[in-house]
Amino acid sequence: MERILHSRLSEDQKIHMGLQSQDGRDAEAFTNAFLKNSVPGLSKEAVKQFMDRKAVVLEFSRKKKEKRRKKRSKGLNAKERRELKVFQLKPEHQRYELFLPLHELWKQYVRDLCNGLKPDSNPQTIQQKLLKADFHGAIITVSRSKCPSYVGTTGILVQEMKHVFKIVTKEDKLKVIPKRNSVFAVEIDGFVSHIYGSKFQLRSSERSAKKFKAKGTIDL
Amino acid sequence: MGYADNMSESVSYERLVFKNASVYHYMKIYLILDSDDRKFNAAHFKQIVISALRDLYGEIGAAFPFDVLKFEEDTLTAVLRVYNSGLVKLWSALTLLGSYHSEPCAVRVVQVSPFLLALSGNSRELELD
Amino acid sequence: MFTNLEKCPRNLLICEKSSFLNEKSRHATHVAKHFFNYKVSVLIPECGIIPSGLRSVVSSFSKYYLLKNLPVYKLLEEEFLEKVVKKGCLYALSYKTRIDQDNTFALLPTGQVILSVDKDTYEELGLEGKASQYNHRQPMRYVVTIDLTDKSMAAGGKRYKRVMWALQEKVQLTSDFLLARYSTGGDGEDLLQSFFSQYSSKELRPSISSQTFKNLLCPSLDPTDLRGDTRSCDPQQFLEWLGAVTMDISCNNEAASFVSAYCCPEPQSSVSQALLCTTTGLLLPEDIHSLLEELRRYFDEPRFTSWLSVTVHGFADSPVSWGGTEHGFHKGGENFYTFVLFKNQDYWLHMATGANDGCPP
Repeated sequence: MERILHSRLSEDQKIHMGLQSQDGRDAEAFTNAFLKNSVPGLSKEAVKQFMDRKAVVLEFSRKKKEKRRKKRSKGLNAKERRELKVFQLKPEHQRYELFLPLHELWKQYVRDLCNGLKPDSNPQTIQQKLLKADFHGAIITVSRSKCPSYVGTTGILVQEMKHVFKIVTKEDKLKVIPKRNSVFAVEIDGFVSHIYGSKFQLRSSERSAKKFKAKGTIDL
Repeated sequence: MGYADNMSESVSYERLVFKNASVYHYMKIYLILDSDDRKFNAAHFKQIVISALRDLYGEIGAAFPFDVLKFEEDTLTAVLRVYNSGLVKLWSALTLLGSYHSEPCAVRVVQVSPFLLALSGNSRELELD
Repeated sequence: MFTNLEKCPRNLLICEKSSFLNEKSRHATHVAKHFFNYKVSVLIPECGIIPSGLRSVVSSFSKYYLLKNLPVYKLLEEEFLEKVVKKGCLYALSYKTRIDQDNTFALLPTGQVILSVDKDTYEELGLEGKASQYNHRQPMRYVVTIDLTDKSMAAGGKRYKRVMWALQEKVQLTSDFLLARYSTGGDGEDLLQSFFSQYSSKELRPSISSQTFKNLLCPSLDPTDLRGDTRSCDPQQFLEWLGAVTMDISCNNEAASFVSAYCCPEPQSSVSQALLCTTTGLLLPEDIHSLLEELRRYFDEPRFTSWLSVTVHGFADSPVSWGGTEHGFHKGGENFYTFVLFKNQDYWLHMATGANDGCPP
């Protein structure tokens, strides 16, 4: 089969199929004439040199890489979120009793987290757990602050951001309290733990992964 | 009564402000000794202070005058007067004074003031109980 | 090499010269504004026994009270505030608290409460205050001033409630107090007594002592020469001499003496005897004023001396010195003033303060 494929065609077949033999001389004559016509400025020598060893690449095109656009998994970017005010509490929702169920939920969550809070539980382990816990729904109090007017503010934490806590107070007021330079007290079932805000300036999702180092003394 | 006549002319108002005008500082100190049988007099006491100064600052550094205005032999309490420039040196030498004739001792500084009069009224000494 | 060792904290000495007869004389305000006085000493040259007038004035000085463990908010309770504090003339100062390390409190007769607290207490207290003027790089001390006469501090008001909450529930600041009231005979007296009976209090009278010196070298003073150019010694030398006399320091040493070369300043004269009368306790400016008035009358009769002096020492740990100016304790906490009274009703007033203090008025 292979032999048949590579064998020369017979003269009859050529005529029969209407093929013209491409003799080398004919082709050269044609090329020279064509070049003379299209580039009349060049001498014969120059054309010859030009024709020597010229690799003509036929039918080549670089394959265009298809840019793979990843589709954003998130629906909105920060700017859009800001414009839509998704994370802003509407004034009519800034009510203390509205968040009481959240607080109950949080208490349940912390009890589960710490395997039940008993008076004889080890405060150290509770603190370790709380360090990684989520505080949305906790009742927090500013116990110390460099700015005296923050001291004593109490409310349910409704939103935690990198640098601020947003709380709703009993007077149905939304208060934004910077974490920096304040110490917060969180009370649950008789256990009070203090949060040094300056060391807590992380998003709650990042905090769960952070390793806190024990330090000898901390000042605000 | 000629003097009184001289003074009868009325004095006009005058106000003077002196800042850092006092050239001296005054210190009230007392000496604590392990044994209390040793007897001191003022000259003795001054000698201790001078040797303390010499130990710390050497012959030249310690060469500045100071006075022992008062020395109570029974309580070993003294009032010193020193030029402002020597106060820090004197104070540090007193602090670092640790022994006298190979016997441990210490100096307590009770009060320091640029006014001698202030030493006579130290409200921290008010004991009411 | 030792240049840094030769520096000293600043001190101030203000000298005034005026006459009691001068209408613009400010001696009364200077006395009235120095609220917390610890010691008064009167030196009268050429006098052997306490004159009867002086004795009666000194022994009629107001009594004062020592209250143990008094919470600060008790001074601000509604009834006490209305009936006693706002009537004025009430002085209270925390006792045995050191202003360079402890929390120190004072109630001024003008109706201000001053809490000088350390950084940690301030952060917990939640009352607005100012950082102390005398802080080193980092503020470690704060001064909270509560003006009780202000409208916002009316009992039941928002600010009043906040102050009471801070002092009662947040941090219960407690201290021993020295308390005195210049009695003008008002209705608050019974209340004050019942107030004292609630606490372990002790009624105290200023203690009086006197001393006579014989053959004293004494500088001569001329009322016209305050600066001390020719006819008097200069103010520093005079105050030094006064201190030396009060502390019983010998004034005639030889210049080459090993122990001390202190001498009485020139021009000097010898006095056969001198009287020193000292009173200690919480002394009220009103009483000191009446003492001053009495001493002015001393020259009504012919006397051998041409001058006498009164020295008033303030509390070193009071949060204020004159008026509301903040006072601190750097090395000594000294704040005192000396009146020199002359025969012709002229006077000199020397006011001295140490490093952590404002300029006297």
